[in-house]
Amino acid sequence: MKAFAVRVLTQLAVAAATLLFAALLLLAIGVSPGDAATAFWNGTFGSPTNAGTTLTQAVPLFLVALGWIVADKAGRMHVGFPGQVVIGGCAAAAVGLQCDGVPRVLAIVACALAGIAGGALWAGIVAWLWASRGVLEIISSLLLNLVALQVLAWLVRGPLQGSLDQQPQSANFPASTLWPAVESVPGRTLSYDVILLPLLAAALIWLFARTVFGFELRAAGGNLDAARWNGINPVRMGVSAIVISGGLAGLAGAALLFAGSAPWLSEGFEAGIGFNGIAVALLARNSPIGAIVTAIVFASLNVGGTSLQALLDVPSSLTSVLQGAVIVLVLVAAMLLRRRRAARRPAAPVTTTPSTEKELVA
Amino acid sequence: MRTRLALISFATAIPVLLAGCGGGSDEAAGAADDSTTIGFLAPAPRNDGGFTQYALAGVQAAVDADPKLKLTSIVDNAAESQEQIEGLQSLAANNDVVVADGAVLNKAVAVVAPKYPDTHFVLIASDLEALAPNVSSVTVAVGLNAMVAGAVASNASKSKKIGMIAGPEVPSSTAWYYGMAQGAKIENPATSVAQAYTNDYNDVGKAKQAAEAMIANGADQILSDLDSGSEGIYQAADAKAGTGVYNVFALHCDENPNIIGSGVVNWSDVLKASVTEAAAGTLKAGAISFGLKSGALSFQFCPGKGTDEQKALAEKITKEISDGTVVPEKGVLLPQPSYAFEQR
Repeated sequence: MKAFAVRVLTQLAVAAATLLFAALLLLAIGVSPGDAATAFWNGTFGSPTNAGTTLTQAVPLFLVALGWIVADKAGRMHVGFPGQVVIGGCAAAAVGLQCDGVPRVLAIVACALAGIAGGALWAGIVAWLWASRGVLEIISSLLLNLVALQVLAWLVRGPLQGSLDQQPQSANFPASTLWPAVESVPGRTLSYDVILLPLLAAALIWLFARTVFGFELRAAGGNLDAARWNGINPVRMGVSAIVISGGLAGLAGAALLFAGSAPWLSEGFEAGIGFNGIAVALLARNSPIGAIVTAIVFASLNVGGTSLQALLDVPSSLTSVLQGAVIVLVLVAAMLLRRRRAARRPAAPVTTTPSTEKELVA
Repeated sequence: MRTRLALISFATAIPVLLAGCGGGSDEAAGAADDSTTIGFLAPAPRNDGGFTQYALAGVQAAVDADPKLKLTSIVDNAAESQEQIEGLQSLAANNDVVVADGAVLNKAVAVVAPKYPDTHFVLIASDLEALAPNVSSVTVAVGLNAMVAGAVASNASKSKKIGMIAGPEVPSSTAWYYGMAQGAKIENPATSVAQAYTNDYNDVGKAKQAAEAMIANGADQILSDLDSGSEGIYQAADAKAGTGVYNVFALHCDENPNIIGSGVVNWSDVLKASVTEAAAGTLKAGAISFGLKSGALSFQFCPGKGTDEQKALAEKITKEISDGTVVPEKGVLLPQPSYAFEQR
């Protein structure tokens, strides 16, 4: 109970420190923190339209965060989410543009599945390189992000280009492919895909806690030797985790295009979701429930940042600075908590050397 | 597990309730007095030294000229579609006129404009994706300026190889290439024109690489359809004596000694006129193109640059385009839209 209280107090201290930092930054550029708070609230949750936008933007962040959590549980650390979001979005867009006249349910499912398949296939390259060639997934995934961006640049100027003005954008997606939104929210900004927030969080918790696959995934990411002795193939679990995480990122790409208010493919549609999603997971300390909250916080920082700029002329880069500050402060808090725990724990006995990457892949 | 499910429900329910039952109104209060408020959104930085900066100066000039106009909000660096839509919505909810300054904003304007019928949207440098009664798209026929620049560059070139470097490959940029090609052909049919696109108006490194490649292939006159990325072309020109550089939109003679002149587009005047008319309610919906007759375009030499022959050539081509003796070829002018169109 005391440990829980310490954790809560630490999180509150982080929030307070972030707010103080933001207030000082705003004062430094001559903006009243009170006015900024009002503008921020109005821009994020002050009206149903803006709240809908904030929540809808939280979904892709949350999906990427779940992807990170899955990979992390299996002990795999890849940073290919931007590329997987991009390729998932491209695949979904390619399918969506062909779905004019297709019944709505079929079109939506086809686009979502295309997104998942695109992201999973892109992540599959990372998994294959790691499992068969021993290439570090963090390196290959990082480089594949660059390839994905070039693929997107080619698609929006070539096969998928469809803007009236020859801009690097696709044509608008057919109405039948757009994900349904809550009609009562003005502007239809609240997409029904927010249902994914609780559903997927619950599904992931259930997967890890109640299934053999989840147990094997955690075992592979925990202790390789123990996993092997229990008949678990860590390579197979690592590959599965990377591919699943890619599928989630691909779905995030589809959500960005088909649930957002910009129903067309354009360069930059990924909008930093891939890396921000990792931050969302880290801030939630890899908890699916926590990721719901942190995804909404990050989405509100994005949406509120535009509002601050429009109403108070606060530079858009300030939002990025605040996001960075949140990450740094949370990491500092986590480090302090770890030190506190380590200081209280008795010295651990000497253990055997853990398995190396080479041993694992071999 | 039950505790976790309860936490999930709680974490999701609070924000969804806020969305469903948000206390605020979507209709933000406009100006309390009888002034006309203006919002400005651009995908580039407001101080980019080029397109955005001149456009904003034009809006400011309109505001300075009429005390009833107020520039209340500026959103810049809105590079991504979702961000552009959010920015336009924020501006439209609080202003009478919204200037969307950039070719990539056409789809975003098409999404937002119908939701705010009482706000007049002025889309700059792009055709409308869909015509709405509260949107005017304002463009300039830059290809006409490019014809003059191409003729001058051809005349100045010893190798008879000239080039054009732009950001994204969009009609407003390719018009510079096609215009240069036609102008160069008028001056000397043997002159060849190369084109390169860096996909970024502000990337100095890419611009330098593209310019170095052109110079290595023999080009000795290069036109930069870039903003701060022009610095890369200057650096490449510095390394190869005799390379002339041409700018667009404005004269940048102080930035580098190799600059010969510029295909000046007076965006400030275009924006000033457009915003003034939009505020007065006289700017028509549809497409409006500013050409040579409007005075929005002109080719200008830097002080001490250009021979008498080149200056006479520039004057002759300008006159021939204005009086219709020289007819722009395919690609020089932006495609004329099917909806309401006005050539000024």
